[in-house]
Amino acid sequence: MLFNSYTFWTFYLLVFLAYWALKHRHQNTLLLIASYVFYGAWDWRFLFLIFTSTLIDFILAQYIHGASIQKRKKFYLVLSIIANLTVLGFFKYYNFFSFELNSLFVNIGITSMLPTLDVILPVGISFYTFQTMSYSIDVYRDEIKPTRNFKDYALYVSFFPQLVAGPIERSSRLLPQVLHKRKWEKDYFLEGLYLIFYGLFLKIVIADNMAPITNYIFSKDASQLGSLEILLGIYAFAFQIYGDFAGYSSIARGIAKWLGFDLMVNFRMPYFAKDPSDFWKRWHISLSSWFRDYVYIPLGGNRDGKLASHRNLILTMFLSGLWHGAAWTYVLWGILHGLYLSIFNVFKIKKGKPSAGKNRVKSVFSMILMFHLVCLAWLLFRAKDFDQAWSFLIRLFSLSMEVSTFFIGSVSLMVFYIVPLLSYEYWTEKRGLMALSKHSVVVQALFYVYIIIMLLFFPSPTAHEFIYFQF
Amino acid sequence: MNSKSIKIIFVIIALFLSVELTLRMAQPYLSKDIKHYKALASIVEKFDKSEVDKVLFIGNSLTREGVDKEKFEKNEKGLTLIRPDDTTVTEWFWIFKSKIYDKDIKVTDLAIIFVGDQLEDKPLKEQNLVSISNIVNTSEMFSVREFEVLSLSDLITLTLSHFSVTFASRERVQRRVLDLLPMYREQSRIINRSLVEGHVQSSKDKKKATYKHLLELIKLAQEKNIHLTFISSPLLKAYTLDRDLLNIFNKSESISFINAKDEVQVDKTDFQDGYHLNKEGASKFTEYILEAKTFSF
Repeated sequence: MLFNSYTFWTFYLLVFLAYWALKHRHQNTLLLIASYVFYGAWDWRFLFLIFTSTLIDFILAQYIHGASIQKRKKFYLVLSIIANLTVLGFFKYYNFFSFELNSLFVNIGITSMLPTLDVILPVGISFYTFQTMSYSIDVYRDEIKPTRNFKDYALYVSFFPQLVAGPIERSSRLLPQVLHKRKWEKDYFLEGLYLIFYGLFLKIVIADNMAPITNYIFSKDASQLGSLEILLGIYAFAFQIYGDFAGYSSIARGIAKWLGFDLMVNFRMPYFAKDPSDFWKRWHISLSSWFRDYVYIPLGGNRDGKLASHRNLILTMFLSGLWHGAAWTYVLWGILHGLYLSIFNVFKIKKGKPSAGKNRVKSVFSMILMFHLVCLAWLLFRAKDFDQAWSFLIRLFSLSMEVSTFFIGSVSLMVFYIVPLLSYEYWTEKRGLMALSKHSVVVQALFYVYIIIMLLFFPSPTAHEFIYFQF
Repeated sequence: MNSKSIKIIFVIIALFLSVELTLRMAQPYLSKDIKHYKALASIVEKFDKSEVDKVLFIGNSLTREGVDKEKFEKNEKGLTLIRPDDTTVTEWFWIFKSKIYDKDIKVTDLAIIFVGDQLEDKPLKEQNLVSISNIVNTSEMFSVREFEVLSLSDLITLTLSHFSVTFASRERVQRRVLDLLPMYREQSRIINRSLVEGHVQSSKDKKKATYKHLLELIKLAQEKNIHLTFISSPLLKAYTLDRDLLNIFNKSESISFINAKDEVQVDKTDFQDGYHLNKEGASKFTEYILEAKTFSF
């Protein structure tokens, strides 16, 4: 059930109508059932997995909280983390590691016995596993008290708007919203409407229209392409993945808002970031803050000297890359971002305040540079393997500047779709994320006129699934 | 809900209604196909009233470009073409059922020109649903739901396309606007070609073809004693026909099959684009059809 399908909106309409007719406790029951229906619509077998994962963390969190000795608390926490990582590791990484180990064994002359299993990757497993882990860790750190109601906890884990592609919510933020009575605030309608329409625009108009360009370029051999075409393919992917993922998050926030929930902001105009650190405060915020709080800081953060800080950054980003997928390209993508962060920390020299004019030029230059560094990393992320990424990179810097028909056609399409998006996001960057809802009816109406016309008349001829479901 | 929200909803509804109204007025100018769909009833009525020997052709642009009307007229035969673009057996079946069978139109000869797998059942795409919504009347929507395998999304698409011109014209408006962009048409052709090549490569493990629409069309035609002629059109690139399809053609005496794809001698000078015949190609093709003498006149 995809957010960009009629089936989902029919389902949501029914849930919405029933939801506001019920009292709080029954609302939670309805949302839990709806969430399991939503998840089971992909594959009913996934339900056993999410239920087991929920049950394990629910019980272990009670034990963590109830344990009187620190050692015992730690034991239950480790048990919870092992359980979660085993599930994730088996479904997501088993085949990857078994393949790599087999190759290694064969290379050193040992016949390997590790079989390759035909396992389906359950949709959104990385998202809800991280959400349940954060719950156990927060209980261990005494940041929250575990809930005694299994139904409420199960709803926290499986809440359908953010179940399959985030935002990865912290228990301290989402659980109280599950436990307490929710009210319909007067601004909720417009805020939800804005988030839903903007999210659908990002997905249906931006991401899906960039996908054919990206797919075409990445289906070719590097020798068949010119430098400009490769650059174009990477730019198209940068906007495809942004539209896809930020679009999903925005719709998730919008539909949750209409149910009285406030989910965290997951994207904040990331391509206007001026440095790597700034980028990660704008891109997939719920994941980057998860890694910061549960990996980077526990590893020591920047407390143990510069060298350790660099190690911690690269290790954290390595894990973040691995989280995205079981492939070396993702791992290298993570390491590359770790290097960006480390290098940025080395060169972050405080200078005197430059003049306003100089400052603006510097800002624009930093944004363009950062965007291209991110694009360079996207090449690794999108390539089917390291060989393709490398051959594309070599071809990109060979500076073969032929201007093909495909290039001109694609550039004109990108201008048509991307320039209005960037102009609007620049405006939002200056005025704040929800600036539009504070504007006059005329300004808002103009926004909706544009969005609706684009949604009605300019969807991609072929709809694409959300990329982040695979993670 | 506050007054601002109500005003914005009002603007959105007003916008939608004005777009709908504008498109309703502009619809015939938006596409020749829409004009053709709208004219289906009168085409069929005219055909019904005509006194000369005549064949009714149902097909797509291959029929439009491939049949030489003058050749038919020289032979003192009449013909009527129903040929909306980008259609296959699904749309042809609904045109036949809705406009001919249900209306009890007297047809002696019905000819269908096709290539490749155009007579096979295919999963319905949005484009098919929009075409069907243009063909059937509101009262026939139920029978579409009964006959076709429709998901909830398909059903909503079909209903929205039937009742809203805005929805049904989305693709056409998009094409008209994007055509203004430099090299857009050429770029999409390149992408389409690569998709087709990819599809051909991945179609090795293709499932066995089914012919639900074709068989139903044949059944309804036989009920009305209509003689059917299926004609495989020549293409620059050779193609084969499914054995099951040939068996369907051989099964009944009321069906004729003209294998023009192998018998008409054409080369690239007979084509506009490798797919559609040009004037010379159409002349050769029509001559062959007429010589095949499968029509009842």
